[in-house]
Parts: sequence; C-alpha cells; structure tokens
Amino acid sequence: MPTLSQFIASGKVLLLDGATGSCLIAAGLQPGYCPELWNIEQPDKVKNVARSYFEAGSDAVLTNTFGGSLLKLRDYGLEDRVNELNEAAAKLALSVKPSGRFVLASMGPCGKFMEPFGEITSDQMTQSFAAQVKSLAGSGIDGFMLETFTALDELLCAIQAIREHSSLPFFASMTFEHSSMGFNTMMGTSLAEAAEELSRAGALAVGSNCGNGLEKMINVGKELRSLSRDLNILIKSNAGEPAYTDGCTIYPEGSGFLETLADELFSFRPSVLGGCCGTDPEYIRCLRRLIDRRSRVG
Amino acid sequence: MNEIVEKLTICIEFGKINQKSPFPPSMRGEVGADELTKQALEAGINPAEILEHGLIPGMNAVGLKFSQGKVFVPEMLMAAKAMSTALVHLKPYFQSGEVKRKGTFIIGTVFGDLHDIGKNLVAMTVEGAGWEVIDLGVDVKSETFLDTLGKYPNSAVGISALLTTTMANMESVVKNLKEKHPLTKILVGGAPLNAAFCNKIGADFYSRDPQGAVAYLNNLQNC
Repeated sequence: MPTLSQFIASGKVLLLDGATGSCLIAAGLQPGYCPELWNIEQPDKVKNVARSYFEAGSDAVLTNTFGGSLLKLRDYGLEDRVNELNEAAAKLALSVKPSGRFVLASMGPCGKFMEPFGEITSDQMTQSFAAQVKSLAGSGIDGFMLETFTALDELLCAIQAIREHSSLPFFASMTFEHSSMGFNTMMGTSLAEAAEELSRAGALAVGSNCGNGLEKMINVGKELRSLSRDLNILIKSNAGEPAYTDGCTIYPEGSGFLETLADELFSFRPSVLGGCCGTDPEYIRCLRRLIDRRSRVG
Repeated sequence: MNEIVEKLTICIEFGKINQKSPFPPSMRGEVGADELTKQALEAGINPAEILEHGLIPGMNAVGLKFSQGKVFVPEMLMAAKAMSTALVHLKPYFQSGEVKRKGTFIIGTVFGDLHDIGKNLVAMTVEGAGWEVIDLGVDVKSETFLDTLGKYPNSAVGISALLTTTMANMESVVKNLKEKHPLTKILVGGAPLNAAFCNKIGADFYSRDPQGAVAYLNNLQNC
C-alpha cells in the first residue's frame, strides 16, 4: 500500500472529502457549539460523516479537528482537553477507514492575529498548534491538512509545529479572495507568495480551499500552475456562493455543474481535489466519477 | 492646514500608532498618532478639528484603499489601532460635549457565531469615522441588541456573521428588532452574505466592506 507521499508522486489525483461542519449541523450540532466536542459526545455521528465520504469514494478523509488547536479550543474554555478531543477524532476517522485509503488531520486557523497586528506571539502560536500536532502525530494518521488559513505567518507556525513533532507529510491550503489586484488572502498573501513560501516550508501539496466556487478555484489552480511546473496543486472548492431561501442556505453548484467544468478542472493538473462548504457525499461521488473517467482516458 | 494635523492623517492612513511601534517599517522611529494627537492638543488645536481634519481623512483614505483591494486586513487593523490611540486623547472632549459624535452605532456578531475579525474591523472603522460605537462582542442574542437599543434609542445597528450556518440566525434578530424599533436602520455584513440576503431578511443595508457601512451611516446622518 502506497504512503500518502507515494500516492501523490504517482501522479494520480487524490480525492479528499467534502464539508464536515454542515454535515454535523445536519445531524444536530448547534451553531456556536464546539464541533470537536462531538468527537466525545456524539462519536457515531462524527464517524458516520467520515464513513459516508469513504463510501462516496474519498481517497482521504479529514478528522474533525479543524478547530482543535489550543488557542481555538480556548474560545470554548476547552484548552485543557486538546489531547482528548484530537485523539478521539483520529480514532473515529481511522475506525472507518478502508484499507488502502488515508486519514489526514485537519488543522485550521485560531481566529486571532499575531504581532504586530494582534496580541499572539510567534511562540504562542507555534505552541498552540504543537499541542494539537502532538496529540495527533502518533495516532496512526497519514498526514496533516492545514486549511482555510489567511495569514501566512500563522500557517508557517503551524508548519513549524508539525515539523518539530512529526515526520508525516502535510498539505497547506489558504483561502483567497479575488479583486482587481488578483487573488490574495484577506491578510494580503498573494498566490505567488503562498506557492513559494509553502513549497519552501515543505508542503507536499499547496493550494486553496473555501471562499470560492469552482470557476474561481479553477482560475486559482491555473495561476498556481503558471507559477510553477512542479507544484502539487490542491483545490477544495465551495459548492458556489450560498443563496438563502426560506430559512435554508442553498449552494448552487451540484454535480451537473461539475460535469460542465470537468475539462477545465483537470487542465492545471491538480494533485489533490475535494470539497469545502456546501459540498456533500454526492459532490464527492461526482468528483470520483470525473477523476476515474479522466484516469481511464489519460 | 496645520502641519501636525496633516502628519496625523498620514499616521492614521499608514497605521503608525506611536514612536515605539515597528509598523509600518518605512516609518520606524518616527512619532505616531499617539504623540501627534497630544502635541496637537497642547498646541491648542481644536479637538473637533483634530478629529475632522486629522483622523477621519486618514481612516477614509485607508478604507478606500481596502475597498479597492489595494491594502488588506493588517493595514486596516493598524490604521484602526492608530485611530483608537488618538481617540483616547479626545475622549474627555466627547464626554464634555465639546466634540460631537455623528451618532451611535451598536454592533455585534449574531448569536451562535463566535467570529469577530470582520465585526471588529467595521466597529473600528465606524468609530474612526466619528461615530460612537457600542460593541456587544460575539454570540449576541436579540435581547441584548434590544436592551442596548433601549438605552440608545436613536442608534443604528450592525450585525455580523461569518458562517453560512449562522447567517440564518440574523433573520430572527432583524425581525425582533424591527418589531419594536421599526425605524432603526440595520446593517448586515459577513463573508457569506450579499444584498439579496439582506433584503430577504428585512435588513436595511448590506456592505461588503467597512467603508460601505461608513458611507451608508454618514448618509443617514445627513438625511
């Protein structure tokens, strides 16, 4: 069985999962409640989300640990449960992993700014992620997925924490917005800076998740490809811009829409694909079909 | 125009808080908004003039660049911090009534949502535009907005949400506020929102950036 790094090196497209939070909310998680607490309180529901993505064809599923850093859990008064909540999440995802597939530990930003823009020092930020990494590194996971970052300095602290406490590979993904100045994160990191800094920091794949629907994400992918021939590019798109009708949030981009963009999606030779906000197992099943069709053709 | 006041505008625009602050690197070692506001008051410059000709134009300039995508959140944050530092010196004049604020703006992140970056940026920018801002923090329920509105009845209200799962909570808050205070203007904002959503839930104005909120509020005041 190939390792995550071997899988990527083989040139195949690795399919990640879709949204986790919205699936948990559909299962009864209240907005404002700490999603990581469900790793202890509602383990079957968390497991079901992971299982549904493996069944939909995901090569790799993420743990329910997006907000599992010390600083983020502190918002809920849960900073002394970092180990417990992260370890439980890894066990849940690993327990439903079919052989030959992967589990990656999701790590997201803490929602606070580093000096001089905010109060958090570089050491505090690194330690916050180190606490999370230490509880995940030896659990049997195959790697880390750093996602939805907008501040490069914070992301580099998370990477430092991974490299100090684990030898597992990691993907690094940021959220970009488009303006007349091109694609930048809200903190002002450009695609070129992200590609250069994150490759240099050792990310196995670099890319973008959240913030955009598939058409803009394809443009992100193309720009990243134009910056580097060798970069392993990761794209995890939202299912479009949410529309609100009768108390429900509806995402417009379904599988039919994906089909129409399939050629464009593969034009920049992505290494890792998946779904972010608004995507579900059906979306992942569609990506699975597109990837499989593509590999038969190519 | 007085030289100190002009310099103050530049410090706000580029986020130079005080002499000690390392930001922006190009102004390292120079005095900042803190020292210059003190100097201006000591030189006998009218506090209203410091606000209107020193601070507000600086915030306007950086807010415009932000809405055009030319600068990003860090630059906005630092400008807002420089502004807040300057406003500390002006506070006694607000309290005595010597300098008038444009109005009162109550702001909070909707209940169920703990995110505050966007909400803070709007709060600081609106304060920097000469408004009194009452920041209710995150996870704010209808009752808290209503209580605060009871104390400051002529205020405008801003509600923020980052998540698609929490933006739905805005609908009940807007409904509850409008029932008791039909004339109160309600602004909404946050990454997943748009103008259609704002109309749908009965709010008055959606802005994708802080500058849009300031323009709307200033316009209300002129009506």
